[in-house]
Amino acid sequence: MKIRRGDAFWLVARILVGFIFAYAGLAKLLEPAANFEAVLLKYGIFAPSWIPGLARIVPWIEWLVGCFLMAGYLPRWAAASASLVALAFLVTLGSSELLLKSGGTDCGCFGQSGWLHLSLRQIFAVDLVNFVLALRLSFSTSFPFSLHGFLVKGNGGRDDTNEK
Amino acid sequence: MSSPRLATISTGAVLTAFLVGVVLLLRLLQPKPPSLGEDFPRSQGPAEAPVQIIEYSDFECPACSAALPVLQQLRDRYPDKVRLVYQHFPLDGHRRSPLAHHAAECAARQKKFWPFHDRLYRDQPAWSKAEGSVIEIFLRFALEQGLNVDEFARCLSDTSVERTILEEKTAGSGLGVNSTPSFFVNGKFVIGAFRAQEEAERILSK
Repeated sequence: MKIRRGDAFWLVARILVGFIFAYAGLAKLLEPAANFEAVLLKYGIFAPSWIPGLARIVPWIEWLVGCFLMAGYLPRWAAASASLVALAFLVTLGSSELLLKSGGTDCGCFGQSGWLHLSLRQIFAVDLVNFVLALRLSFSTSFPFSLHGFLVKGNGGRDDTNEK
Repeated sequence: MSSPRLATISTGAVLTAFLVGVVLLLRLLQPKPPSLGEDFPRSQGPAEAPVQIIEYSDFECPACSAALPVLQQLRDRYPDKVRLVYQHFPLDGHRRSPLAHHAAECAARQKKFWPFHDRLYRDQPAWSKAEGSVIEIFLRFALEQGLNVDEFARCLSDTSVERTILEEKTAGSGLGVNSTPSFFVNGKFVIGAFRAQEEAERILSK
């Protein structure tokens, strides 16, 4: 199956953004929730009563949205959700004094014991790129090699029309 | 309902169930906190106590020192219902910590871990900020706690003690511990002594 150059770029972008979300979610899900609670507490912008709930829900959202995006299941919805989550991360980081005061410290977004550790400044840049790519993907009409293409269009994974 | 929509919904359900299952399965395969018998030298309280607290702590960490009265209060209040187990977790940035853990482990080998532990935390500022070698300070602590000082001094140069400490720290990291003091209260992971106290009292109030 031939693939257009533009499609190839957005296919890679979709898998990359999906992988970052899925990895961040899974790394946190496999660690005690108290670790992510401690990270959220450090940001100093959430009410303490919200933190246990957020620490348990956010990793599941990242994991599911990331995997849906990689698999291309409901890709426009998944991309829209990913862009919203990335925007929420940007707002959180932007409103926290931590970014200015100690932007070089580990953001804790990929768990504590995994191989990937990014500083607050680095994750801000990654979230910005994720937001732009996911937002663009949410308006895309073509999702090659996606579950959506197989399920709805039945054209071997190529979907050149709008998602239903 | 049209068949493509039905296919989309059913695929979504299967995919979600699969992804949730993967996480649950991986969690099952994760290591569990250690189960240590009554003869474990760094434990206090009966082995069959309804609340088992495993503490991962660093002797040079000020927050761990602040945890001492909280845990002592819990031990005094529920002497037969709470068991406390200490696990070494010397943090990387604390230069005096490895030797302090080594000394405490040597005290544990003479069944005097807890008095030495309390002393290290109570006098933490004195030894952690001391200029030069702290061995003299730890030898004095050992003498004051009634330890066999010759045996203690020999133990301080025993490299197998360092291995024990490192293995314990590595096992703790594998359980998700990355800061101190961290606790497993009946298997539930919490950070901070007050959270551990809350969790213990919640279990005991049932």
